[in-house]
Order: sequence, then C-alpha cells, then structure tokens
Amino acid sequence: MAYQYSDQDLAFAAEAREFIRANLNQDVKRKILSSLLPTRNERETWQKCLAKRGWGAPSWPVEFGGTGWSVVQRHLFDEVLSEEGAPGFPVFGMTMLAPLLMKFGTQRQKDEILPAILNMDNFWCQGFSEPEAGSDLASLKARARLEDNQWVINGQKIWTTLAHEADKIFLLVRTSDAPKKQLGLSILLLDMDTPGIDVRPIITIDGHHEVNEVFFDDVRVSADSIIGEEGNGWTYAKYLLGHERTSIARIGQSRRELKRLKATAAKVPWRGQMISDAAWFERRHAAIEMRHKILETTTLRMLEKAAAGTKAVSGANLLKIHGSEIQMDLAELWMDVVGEYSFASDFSSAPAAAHLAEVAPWEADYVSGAYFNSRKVGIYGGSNEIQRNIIAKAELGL
Amino acid sequence: MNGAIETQEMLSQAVEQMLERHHSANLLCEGKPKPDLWPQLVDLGLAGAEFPEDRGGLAVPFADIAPAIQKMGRALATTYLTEFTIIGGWLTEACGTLSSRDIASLAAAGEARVALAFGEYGSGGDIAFTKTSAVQSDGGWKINGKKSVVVGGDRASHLIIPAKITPGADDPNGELALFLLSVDTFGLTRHVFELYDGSFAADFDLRDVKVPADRLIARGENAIDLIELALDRGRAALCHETVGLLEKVQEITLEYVKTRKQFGQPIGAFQTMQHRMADMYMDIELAQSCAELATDAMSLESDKNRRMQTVSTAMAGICDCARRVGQSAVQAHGGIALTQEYLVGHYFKRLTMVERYLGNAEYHVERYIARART
Repeated sequence: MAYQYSDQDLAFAAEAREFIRANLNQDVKRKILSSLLPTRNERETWQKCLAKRGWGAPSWPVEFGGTGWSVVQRHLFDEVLSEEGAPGFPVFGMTMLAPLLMKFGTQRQKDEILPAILNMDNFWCQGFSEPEAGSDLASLKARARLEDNQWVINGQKIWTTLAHEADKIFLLVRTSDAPKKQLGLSILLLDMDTPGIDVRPIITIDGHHEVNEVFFDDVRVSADSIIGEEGNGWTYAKYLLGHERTSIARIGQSRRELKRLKATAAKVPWRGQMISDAAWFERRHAAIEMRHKILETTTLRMLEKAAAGTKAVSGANLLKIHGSEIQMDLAELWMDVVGEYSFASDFSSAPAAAHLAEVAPWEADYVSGAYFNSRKVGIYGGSNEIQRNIIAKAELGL
Repeated sequence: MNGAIETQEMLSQAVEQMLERHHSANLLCEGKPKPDLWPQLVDLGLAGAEFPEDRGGLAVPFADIAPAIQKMGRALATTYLTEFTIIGGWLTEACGTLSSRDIASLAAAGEARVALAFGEYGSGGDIAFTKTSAVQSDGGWKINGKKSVVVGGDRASHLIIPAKITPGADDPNGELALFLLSVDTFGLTRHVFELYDGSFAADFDLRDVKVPADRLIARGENAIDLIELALDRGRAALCHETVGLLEKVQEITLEYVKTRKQFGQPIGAFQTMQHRMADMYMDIELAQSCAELATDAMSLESDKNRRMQTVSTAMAGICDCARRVGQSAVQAHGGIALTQEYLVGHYFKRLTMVERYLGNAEYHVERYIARART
C-alpha cells in the first residue's frame, strides 16, 4: 500500500509552514518564484534563521546538528520549504560535502567545517567537471602533486555553480597516475581566495551568471587538505553525487509550480474564458500532476527502503530522471500559459519594462529564461543518459 | 517549370550571398544586436517579390520565394520578410481598395512596412475574440483598443488593425473590419520591446484614433477570410524558415557528436546518441514535408477549409519538430549548448519561438478539428 501521511506528519508540516511564513523575507520569496537566485547574503540570512530554530540541517545525524526527524518528516520539510518559496539548503556543502566528511573526514575537518556549513558562515562550491571530462568524469586532467608538504594544483574546472560567490571549493583532482583512470583521484579542500585561482563567468542563454570556469595555476594548499585517503577520490565522488541526485528530483518545487500554474491560469484570459478553464490546459496540467503524484509515491517508497536499510539510495537515478522531466515539462507549460508575452526579454530597461509590467502577466519576465535554464536539469548531476547507464549496470547487470 | 526552378535558385543564391555579406549568426554569441537586413531585401526586390511587375514587383509566386526563406532560417537572420511582405504587404494589396493599393505600392518598393496587428491579450490567437472596436464618427471611424506583441512593430510604418464595428466588442460573432493606418496617426501609442530571439516587437494602444472612411479596407466575412489567408501565408513562410533552422541545428549537432570525445571515443559512437541523431534526421524529413504541404496549401484559395486544415497540419508538425530537435540538440551537447558563446543555443531560442508564433501546436490541432466540422 502506498504511504499515507499520518496526523502527526501533517501537524509537523503545518508547524514548519507557519515558521517559514513568519520568517521568510518576501523579496527572497519573490526571487525564488521568479527562478532568480537570491543574493549570497539573503541565502545566508535564511540559513542562519533555520539553524537558529534547530532546523538548519535536517539530513544530518543529530550529533552534528541534525533534527532527528524521520525520512518522511525530512521529505515533508523539504516540500514545505519549496512550496513556500524558501531558498534551498546550500546543497554543495550540506548534502554533498558534509556526508562525505562525516564518513571519511578527520576529526579536525568535521569540527571546523561542519558547523560553518550548518550556519552558512562558509559557502562551498564543487569543482568536478572539466571541459574534456563531463559525462566521463573519471577522465579529468586537473592535477595536484605533493611538494614540500603542500599540494600544488594545476588545471581547469568548468560549470562550477556559484564559484564567484563561494568561500571554499572541494575539488576532484588527479593525484597519481594509475593504470585505471578511476584510481589516482583525490578530493582536496581549498579556500577560494588562495593565490592562483581565477574564476571566469559563463553567461548562459537566459542571460544569467550562475556558472563559471575556474582555473588553477600553481595553487598551493597544505597536505592535510585532503579528504580520506589519497587515490580514493572516485569512490568518494560517487558517494557524494548519489546525494545530489536524490535532491534534484525537486518534488516540492514541482508541486509548488503545479499550484502556481493553476493560480496564474485562473487569472489569464483566453478566448472569453480563463486559461484554467481551457481544455488544453486542464489536460496538460492534470497529466503532469498525475506523473508528479506517482513520482512522490516512488520517492517515499525509496526513502522507506533506505530507512529500513534494505537498499541504499540506488533509486536516486530514477528519481533524478523523472523529477527532471517533470520540471522541464512544467517550464514549457508556463510559457503556453503566459502566451505571446513569453517572447519578451527586455524587463530591465525602461520604458519597455514599465509597459510590460502593466500589460503582461508578471511571470512573463522570467518564464522563457526559466524554460531555457530548465534544460540543464537533464544534463547536470550526471546527464539523464548517464543515469540510465547506471541503472542498466547497477540494477540490471547489463 | 524550369523557369520556376531557375527563379527559385536565383533568389535563394542571391539571399545566401547577401546574408554572407551583411549578417552573421555569431553576433548573437558575442551578445551583439542583429543587423537590419530590410534595405538588402529591398535591393533584391524581395519586398515586392509577389507583386505584379506593373505594380513594381517581381511577380514571383510564394513557392519560388520559399527556398530563400529557408536560407534566412539557416543563417538565423531576422528579416521581417514574413511580417512585412508575406503577411502585411500581401494583405494590403489583397484588400484592393484605392487607399490600400496606394500603400501597397509603397510596400512593394520597400518604402512602407505594413504589419498586421492581429494579436490581443486574451484572444488566444483567435481573431473572433478581437476586442478592439471602431465606431462611426464625423464621417470616418474612431478606434479604441490594444494590440499585443506585433513582431516587427518597432519598425513598421503602417498597421492593419482588425476591429469590431458592431456594438458589443465582446461578441465573437460581431462584424470585423480591417483598418489601415500610419503608425504616426494621432491617438496611437507604440511600446517597443526586445524578444528573446533578438528580434523586436511592439504593443499598440489605440485611444480615440480617428481615421477617414477610406481607411476601412475590408469588412465582414471578406476581412476574416483575408486575415486567415494572410496568416496562413505567414505560417507557410515560418515552416520554411524552420526547415532552415533545423538543418543547421542538425549539422552543428552532428559535427559535435562526431568530434566530442568521452570514454575514449566520440560520443556519436554510443547507441543512445545514434538514436537521438536518427530521430533528428527523421524530424527534419518530416519538417520538409510540412513545409511542402504548407506551400501547396497556398494554391487552395478556392477551398479555404482544406487550406486551413493543411496549413494547421503543417504547423502542428513543425511545432513538434521544432521542440524535439531544439531540445534534443541541447541534450546532445550538454552544458555548452546553454551558453551564450555557443551558436546552437541561439537556434534553440528561435525554435522555441517558432513553437508559439502564429499559433502553437494546441492551436493548430483545435483549428484542424474545427475546420473538419464545417
């Protein structure tokens, strides 16, 4: 039988919602709903607010500052956060690096790094992909050699999300030559202001600057800046990407978008009625809503299995593929709801912006950018092709 | 027949050479604006291509211009040929009144750029839901209303404004008329904005715009038939432009999967990529068929239901091809396709606009069904 939320679950969700509504800045909410990224400062303020309430890192064990919630409660909390338009947790530090440190880090690393992630005193970015190592991550070329008890790093990373706002980076590099390319990799931890690091922006077709190229030219860090054992980086990277894939199903965000689409459609006229009453809209919206329900049920099944210890989060690949497809289809439906004003791109310069603000649905100023940007979810965190390869190999033995 | 092929090739080559000299899609990668190619189109005689020679045109049928439009698509050029010549100029001439023929002569020479301002917020692309209204006043007409997202409206010299001339503009069955007016007409306000494909559009507010009686250039069923035909002509042009866009996207993507190496081999060696590229190949064949269907429909003037069904068939197909090929090209490339520096993302954006310009796939499926019933 599919999981049903208990009364306690629902009371918990209501409490979380009340807290978020009472504390979340409306400008930040508006940015999230417009697919815009709040500033570093805005995100930090929100993370500190959650941390102060004791809700800063629900996915962590209690000993590190976690909440001790059940998997269902954690899922509900994520959902409510997304539905209310709150910024997501700082994913690179909290859901990728932190679990890795808890399992493989030294005591000193745990003591120094984890509290700063929880309180967002430090913001981390992730240095994995390279121009020649995307889907084939293990063929990466960035290199670190040990010299005078320091790692000396040279090479280039690409698609580094928010590197220009980050204090720290965890970096997958080659530390030795091995017969198999997956061996000889290690993960190093660096301050972004270390001399020799050069961050260059990549402007995407939605006109935004979110990702970067990062160049390393004789960058030196102390030998103990490594996680776990030298040469074990591939195992660690797989461990950490598994955590990314569960969170990019974005079930709460998609639920929020389903609701908002309906609300907007009820306000936009269309041939003498509202779009919400048009057969084409009802059909497409319902079809996505149903797929979303099935995905949510699947997520809860996977979480229960993981909690019962019968299976690791191997279903993460499935959740990533279906979650990303739903996100992309929602972005498309948004443009059809906004209609011809979705063509407009100029919302920053007067007088065009002032005019459009008056006549077009307010979502017009971002839906096309959000659609173009949505295509990345089929690509990042391991493209959907790679996810299928993993399922074929790991689940089916092909 | 041979003469027609010669004309097609001549126009197509002339456009290709003009685009090489005056245009580069790479401008978009550098974040620069696209050049205005209208003067070059005028030099080639394309502004009045379909007009008879005694009206200053080349007397070339649509089918002979189509290959040149494909070249514009391939090059990702914004020419507004569809808006000003295929739709606006043609409609001005087709209305056939004395005043419209005057403006049409200017349009044939490229001296007037006439845009059909058919879109209204909330009309869902259906002209029957036009709310702009015109009432008789001082022997002429007084027009009130708003027109939305007129592509090329930023540089249009004249507008054709559909308006309801019976009381009760909310009545879908009210009588419609077309008014031809200069953009300088008193009471007409223009709001210009850029579109995500680098082209421009404008909204128009009409507040007690007074025009003489001779600016009414068509009315009733005749006006609706003319608008539908003008838009179908635009759709046929859009189909041909899209074929050019798709062919170029396929070329770029094929080259990429052959040269981009991962796991020690070109990614095109992987079956999942081969299937993706095979699907893209099939979509381009289908899109070419759509473009041919739409061109053939242009000669179905005597059977308007069949024409509309055929054009909607073509457009539903083109919208699907545009979506699938655009999305697939991005997925095949990975992150680089979503960067401003790389060409394919700009084609993806134009293809995304094609999906919703002059009716999306839903619109055309509905129109197909509606026409089957009549």
